[in-house]
Amino acid sequence: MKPLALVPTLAIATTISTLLLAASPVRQDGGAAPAAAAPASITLDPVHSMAVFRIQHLGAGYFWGRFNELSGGITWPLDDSAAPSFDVTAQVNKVDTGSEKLDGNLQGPNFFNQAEFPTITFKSKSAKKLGERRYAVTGDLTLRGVTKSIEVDCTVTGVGKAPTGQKVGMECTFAINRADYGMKWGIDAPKGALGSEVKMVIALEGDVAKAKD
Amino acid sequence: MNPIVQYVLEVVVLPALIACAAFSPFLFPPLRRRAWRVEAAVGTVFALTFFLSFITELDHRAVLRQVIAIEGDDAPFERWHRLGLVALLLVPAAWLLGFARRKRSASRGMTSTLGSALLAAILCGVFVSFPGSGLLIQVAQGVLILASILAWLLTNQAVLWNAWVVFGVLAALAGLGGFASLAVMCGALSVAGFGTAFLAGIGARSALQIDPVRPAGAMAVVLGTLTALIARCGMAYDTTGVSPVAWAAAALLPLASVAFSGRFRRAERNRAKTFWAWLGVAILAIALLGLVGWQQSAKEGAGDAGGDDYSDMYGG
Repeated sequence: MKPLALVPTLAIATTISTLLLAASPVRQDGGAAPAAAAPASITLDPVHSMAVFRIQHLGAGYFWGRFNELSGGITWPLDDSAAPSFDVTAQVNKVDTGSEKLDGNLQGPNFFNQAEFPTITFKSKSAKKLGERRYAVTGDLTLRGVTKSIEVDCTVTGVGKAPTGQKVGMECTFAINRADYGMKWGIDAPKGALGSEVKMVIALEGDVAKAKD
Repeated sequence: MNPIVQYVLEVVVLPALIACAAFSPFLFPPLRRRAWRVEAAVGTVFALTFFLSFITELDHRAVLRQVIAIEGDDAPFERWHRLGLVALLLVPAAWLLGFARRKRSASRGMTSTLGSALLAAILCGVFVSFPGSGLLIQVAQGVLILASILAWLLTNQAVLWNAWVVFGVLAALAGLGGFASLAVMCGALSVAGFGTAFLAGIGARSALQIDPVRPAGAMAVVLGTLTALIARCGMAYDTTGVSPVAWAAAALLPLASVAFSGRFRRAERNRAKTFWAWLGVAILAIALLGLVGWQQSAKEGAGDAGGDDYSDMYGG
């Protein structure tokens, strides 16, 4: 066969193979589905992370306070391909109600007992996806030395950029019965001084660890 | 009933009333004529009052948890709950001490009291520790207990009125220190002091040649142990900056009963002697509370000057 006769044959073969490759769902990376991003390690930014709590006072108004400077970390793939996991710690001596005296009372043995139980921790165990960037996270809450499993509703509020790198924000909410953790003052005695249900809103913001080159 | 009034009645007044009522026969003749029984009974009133107030405020399991594991109980173990156990153990201790002193001479009786005081200091130093304690602090705690017992021995016939004042001061300090539960328990002890002092006064009038109630053994050991341990507990759990010196001073307040001892000797009547022995403690108590209150107010005033730190908007 003359070499020139091969040219149309090669052109047809190249065109067909190009079309076939373009139409094929199988990519050149070996045929796997889109690769999930690796979970990012997010270190909590203590300035912009806090836990806000709400409790009823004397059967009347809702009283709000907060724990400042939460520490710990979150692991979460930024493309939301998997659930986040949490390891968060609050220092009892960082409770802030706007009243120094009240802060002291809350740190005392009738409430958080800072001298014996200086930290409150939450460690997640599992999570169930509820929607886009929203999860029901189950984990262990340790408060006053008592550990109980709770379910926390967590929403990723955003992924942003700061001069220092990427930031991730999350908001988690849950409610506990404080008597379950041995914090009974004001429920039965004095009766109704403070409510038993405590609602918590945890605002978390963390810095995404930069990938190593 | 107003919940606060009900709470005060249940946790402060009722425990003291029950204990006073149960042991009041010992403050009246014929039981009043045996000093050792009176001492043991009055010591029991204070220990029992604290115990009853403790279990009303918390739970009897708070005491049980100190010695045994309770099935199905997941409440936290807290070190200060050992106070309830100590109070319970002081009840039989008061009767043992009283019984041991019953036929001894004054000098041998004093030796037995000092021995008991030393034993109480050692046992509490070893078995009762609060957060942040180390060896030195435990030794200091033992010394405070010993000193407090000796101070109560000096209160002489004003012991019960002084108990009213001293436990009142401890209640106020606990309240200022953000420790409401300890405050109400001390309040109950103060009511017990007032109740026993009142009943002892009536008992003394009901018959001739009745000696005033004086601490010589069991009563001083019970009062000194409770006072010093409450002060130590208050120091350890303080969250509002009440000075440890103030707590120690409160535990040693009974020493002030010797302040007017010169006047005391010249006084003829028992009631006058009691008054002068009480007055020194009362004056020092007011001075101490005034000083602590002033310190707290000054601190609160200074706290207003603080500002928020917005210096690092990114927290980096």
